Amino acid sequence: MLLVCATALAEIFFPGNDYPYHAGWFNVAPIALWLFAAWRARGPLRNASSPAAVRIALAVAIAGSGIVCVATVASGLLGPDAHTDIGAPGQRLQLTETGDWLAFPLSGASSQPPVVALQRGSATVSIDRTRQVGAFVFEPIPRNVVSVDARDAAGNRLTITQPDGVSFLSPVLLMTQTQNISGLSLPFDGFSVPAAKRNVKAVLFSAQAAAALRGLPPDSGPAVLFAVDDERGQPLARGIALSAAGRAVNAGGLFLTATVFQYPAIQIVSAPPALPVGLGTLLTVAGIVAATAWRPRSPRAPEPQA
Amino acid sequence: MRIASSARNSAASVLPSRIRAGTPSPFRLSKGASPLGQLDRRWLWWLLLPLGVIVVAIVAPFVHSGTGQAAAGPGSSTGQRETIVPLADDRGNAASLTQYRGRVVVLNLWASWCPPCRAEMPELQQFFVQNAARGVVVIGVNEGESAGRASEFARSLGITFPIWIDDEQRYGRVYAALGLPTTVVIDRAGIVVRGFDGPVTPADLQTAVAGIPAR
Repeated sequence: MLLVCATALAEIFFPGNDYPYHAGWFNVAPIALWLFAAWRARGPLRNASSPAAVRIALAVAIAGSGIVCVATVASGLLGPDAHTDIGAPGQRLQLTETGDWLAFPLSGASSQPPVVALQRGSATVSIDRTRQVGAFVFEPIPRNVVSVDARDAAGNRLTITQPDGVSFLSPVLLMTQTQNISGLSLPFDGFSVPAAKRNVKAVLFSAQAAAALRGLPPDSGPAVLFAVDDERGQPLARGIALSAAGRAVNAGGLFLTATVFQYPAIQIVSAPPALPVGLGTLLTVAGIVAATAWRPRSPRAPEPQA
Repeated sequence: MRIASSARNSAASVLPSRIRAGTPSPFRLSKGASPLGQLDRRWLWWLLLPLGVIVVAIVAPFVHSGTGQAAAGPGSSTGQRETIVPLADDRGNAASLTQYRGRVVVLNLWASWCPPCRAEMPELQQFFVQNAARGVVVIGVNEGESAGRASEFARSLGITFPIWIDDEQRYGRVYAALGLPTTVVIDRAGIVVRGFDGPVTPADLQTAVAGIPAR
């Protein structure tokens, strides 16, 4: 019974994708454990010579662990698979699980670490650390994203659009795809500059990968490789350039500056709801403690008759 | 069969009489009796009911499953409070929606390279002039371009309503723009009442504004 509670508590206190919580056997385990415990308790429960208090305490413990078992299995089988929601700064994503909204803050490269807010009706929960809300655990996962500034030869700023991105009018590239270059799996994204009729691919090199590239000073930090095509997708002469340390580069007639910064995505993992798990664990522990600690009252000595 | 039947009869004959005798607790048992074996079925049902409720309460949150979906277009902002993004106008002066609290705001997101934006600008200007006396203001928010280009474009079309410069395209993200132009109507209390994806006509705007109470 305590093992049933332990499986639920593990999901709550150690949430994440790296654990086997949604594997089939992890959902079978609590059921098997609970059935085994109930089967073992059957003897004392039916034994007429067992004290009633002990039998009731055992029944309470079985009911408590049963509640925890249902919560764990419901979370494992019915809850959505763990997934990560990625939003652009300023964007709102609706969670179809609950109807709640994830509000991604507008703050970007230059501000304090941005914190995503979970909006539930009029209430707001800041996802500044791992938090369980209802039947879900929300965890902020910092990711490297790239803010792009595009200008023409006269220095005029140009609108950036992402027709295939999560937010059409965003100059922040969320780098959700990966591309293999020289054996390295590198994040990449794409955007358009409609005023200049250009389509641009941007590949992000980590500081380590960038250090291995020629032409970059050491310790220049992460770098972004831009590859500029025309509106038909044809590569342009001198259309490839590498931007590092916020330096503007000329590629395909555009002056592009990349700023790499960390912005949170939110990992959402279904977990057994804390209330039934807490209640069930309490009943289980109380039942087990009461059943083991119960001692029959010593029979009263007969009062001497006058 | 006979044994089971006699057990049922025995349970039925013992417990109802105890209940009639005024001892309704299911846990008050005769000495040596099994606490579960001799419970009246009615009591069992009463015990199962809260357990059933608990199970349903546990399972219900998981019934709707899926993943996060981006707000679908500017219409999804309807009913939301306006988002205040401090910007500058095309002359470099600070500009914010807080300056227009108490007025109906038509926020039009546009860019000079966008042909439908150019096409609807004169109609927006006409709407602005016709409705100014009613406390309606049109604000053109340029998305991602320099102030000089935006100002030059507005002057070339004879625009007199305020032009703001949103160089980081933040309003485009806040109001889930799917393209340009995008228009959002905000009431006097700062609540978004309509969102339009694509060009709007003066008739669309008149309808949206007509539903907002006068000052």
